[in-house]
Amino acid sequence: MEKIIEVAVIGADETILLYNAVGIRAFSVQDASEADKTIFKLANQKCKIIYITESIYELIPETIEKYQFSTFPVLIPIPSGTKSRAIGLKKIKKNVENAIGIDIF
Amino acid sequence: MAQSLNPTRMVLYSQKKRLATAKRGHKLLKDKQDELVRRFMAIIKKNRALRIEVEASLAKIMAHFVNAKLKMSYEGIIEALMVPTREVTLAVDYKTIMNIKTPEISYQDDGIIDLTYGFAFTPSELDTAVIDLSRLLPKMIELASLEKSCDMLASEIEKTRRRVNAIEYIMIPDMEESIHYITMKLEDNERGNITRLMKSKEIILAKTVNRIEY
Repeated sequence: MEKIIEVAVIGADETILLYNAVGIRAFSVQDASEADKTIFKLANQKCKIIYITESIYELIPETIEKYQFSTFPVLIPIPSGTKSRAIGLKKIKKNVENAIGIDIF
Repeated sequence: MAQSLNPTRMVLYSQKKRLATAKRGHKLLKDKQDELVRRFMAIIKKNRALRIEVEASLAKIMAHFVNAKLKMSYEGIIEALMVPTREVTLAVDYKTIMNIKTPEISYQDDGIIDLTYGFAFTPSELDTAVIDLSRLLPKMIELASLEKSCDMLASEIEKTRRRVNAIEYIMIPDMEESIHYITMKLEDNERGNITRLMKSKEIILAKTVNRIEY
């Protein structure tokens, strides 16, 4: 029996290999549909957290929305290379705006 | 809406009851919203600080990793990183904030950081990257659970705000208007009735006076 994957990372380049070394299963995908399928498969396997690199995160807004209201899996954007494109911070900003009406950060 | 109601005492009574319920519900929802926002503000501040910290650390780790990658072949890297140094085990729990089930994920850290590749063919930057990432792992997991909580709270706050606004600006004025309409209609009927009574009294009086005169 295969071990249950609890934490996974999805990304487009080989930088995600590093996560493999610390016990986070890395899945390399090339385009949005492949990322979609991987997330779907992981969600069915009861994966808890899926980190997604920003370049892929931007491509799959529908999938993110689909899992928004379920507790698991948690989809979290992480910077893909050495530079962050601040998608995570933008998400926080959007949440604040939705919740209290104005942006306070 | 008001015009479609029957102007009777029964309807007036039920409308008044509905208005009282709506006002109580509005107050409750408003309280819920305030409390949600208070909780949300506490979490979102933590979330933002943690995200900035994690992203900065990740950028540093990735810089190390890129340096290591330059010194190694692609196959070498894959070979070195294929075997995980440890397995990530999570303890998942739920925390209920105002009836919303938010995840609380904690990472069971055994504190052991092993490197599972030979040091002969790997540059030291790779070691740094792997060790730093291992250390960052608990924070990344915490970030995940915080962000999910924030997401869920934000959407719940939005929902509650819509409900509060719908009750405050649509339902309550609507009911007040229909109560006003029914009251006016009833008073008008009453006045009509009195006029009719006065008129009939006059006619009857006139008839009696006529009869007596004959």
